[in-house]
Amino acid sequence: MTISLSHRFFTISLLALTVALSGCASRLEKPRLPDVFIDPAPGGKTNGTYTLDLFNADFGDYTRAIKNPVPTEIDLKTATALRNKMVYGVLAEIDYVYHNYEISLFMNEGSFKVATDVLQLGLGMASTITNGERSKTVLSAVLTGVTGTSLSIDKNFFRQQTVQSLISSMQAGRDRTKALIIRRLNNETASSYPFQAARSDLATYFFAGTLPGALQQLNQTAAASAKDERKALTDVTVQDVENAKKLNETIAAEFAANKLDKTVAFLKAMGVTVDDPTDKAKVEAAYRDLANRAFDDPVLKKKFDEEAKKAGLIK
Amino acid sequence: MAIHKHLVAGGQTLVEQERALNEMELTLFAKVTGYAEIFGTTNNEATLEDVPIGQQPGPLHLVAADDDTQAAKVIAEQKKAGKTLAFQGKVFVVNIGAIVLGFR
Repeated sequence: MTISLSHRFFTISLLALTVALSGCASRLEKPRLPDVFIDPAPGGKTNGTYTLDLFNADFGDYTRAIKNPVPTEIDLKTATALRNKMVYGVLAEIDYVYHNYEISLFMNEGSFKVATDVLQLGLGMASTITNGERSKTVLSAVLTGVTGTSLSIDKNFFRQQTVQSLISSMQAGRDRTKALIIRRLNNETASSYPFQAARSDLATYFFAGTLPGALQQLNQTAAASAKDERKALTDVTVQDVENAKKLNETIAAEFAANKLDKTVAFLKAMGVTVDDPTDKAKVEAAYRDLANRAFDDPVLKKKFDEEAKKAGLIK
Repeated sequence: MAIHKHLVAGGQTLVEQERALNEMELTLFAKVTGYAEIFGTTNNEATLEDVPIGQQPGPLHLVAADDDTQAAKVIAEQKKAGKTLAFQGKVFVVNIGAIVLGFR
């Protein structure tokens, strides 16, 4: 089969456009880095990068300060200060590589999608305007292949999640671990939270900012929400607690006097039927069931409060 | 007595969570016996045990501690003040993990 000049021209133009569009994306990713962030620093100067040499020096000092099984107070203070310095140094380095990774993940996915979209569009057009059944079949097969590759990457690497949701998930996992590390650094000495323990938390922090870490966090969140449809209680005011106290006292008084009129009227208004309204055990069971359901469902809880007032349980 | 579990939003302050737990106890005729964060969410879960109607225990007061050493100190101080520890748990307070102790 010979390929016509117009087809060659079309294919070359398509590839050039794909490459050009992908190239455009790299200019969007980030502004120029300030010199103090460029690694290695320009002109052989030093910047704030926590290098392996600096780490080794600090780790040596830390090990010397904490070498005794029972370190003196001064040694412990020195070791704690050095531990904090090392941990914050490593945190900054992890943050730096993470943000670069986040940008490349976002930009590479964008570039890949632009490239495959352009390719699919071109192949679709080419198969429409091409003369000859064989050429049409070949172009359609290539188009199917390109579409399949794009779907496969989405399915196997990203598990059909958007990059935005993966980045949000990574950030949530990182924030959670960082808060834990900082709390322990602020509250614990190098004796109860030694550098080795912090190093383990730093590893968790690093892996929270990876694609597998993001997918794992998304799965855990989805699993937790799927099995738990209860709503968390929020916005309880001082007046709400006062009302609950009154309700508790009124119901307790009715049970003590063996006169359950208000409680039964309330249950009836809430749509709860009690077989024998004079049976204390049955009324109590019906009330407890309703109240427990109300604390998992804000709509039911609102109605519960309104009807309790109407029935005179909250005076 | 029956056990029930209910959620409290971990984005709230300690005072707001204290109000939520007290409202639960009074309305449900129950007492909180456990309080813990739920992994993978920012919610806390309260475990409540039913109490007989008319025998409601006193109000709950929450205190936060940074670590186990401080928690032990808080328990000793509250004990001196005549308070009893009802529960102790790792929970979210304003979305940050903390040790919380419940006294009455």
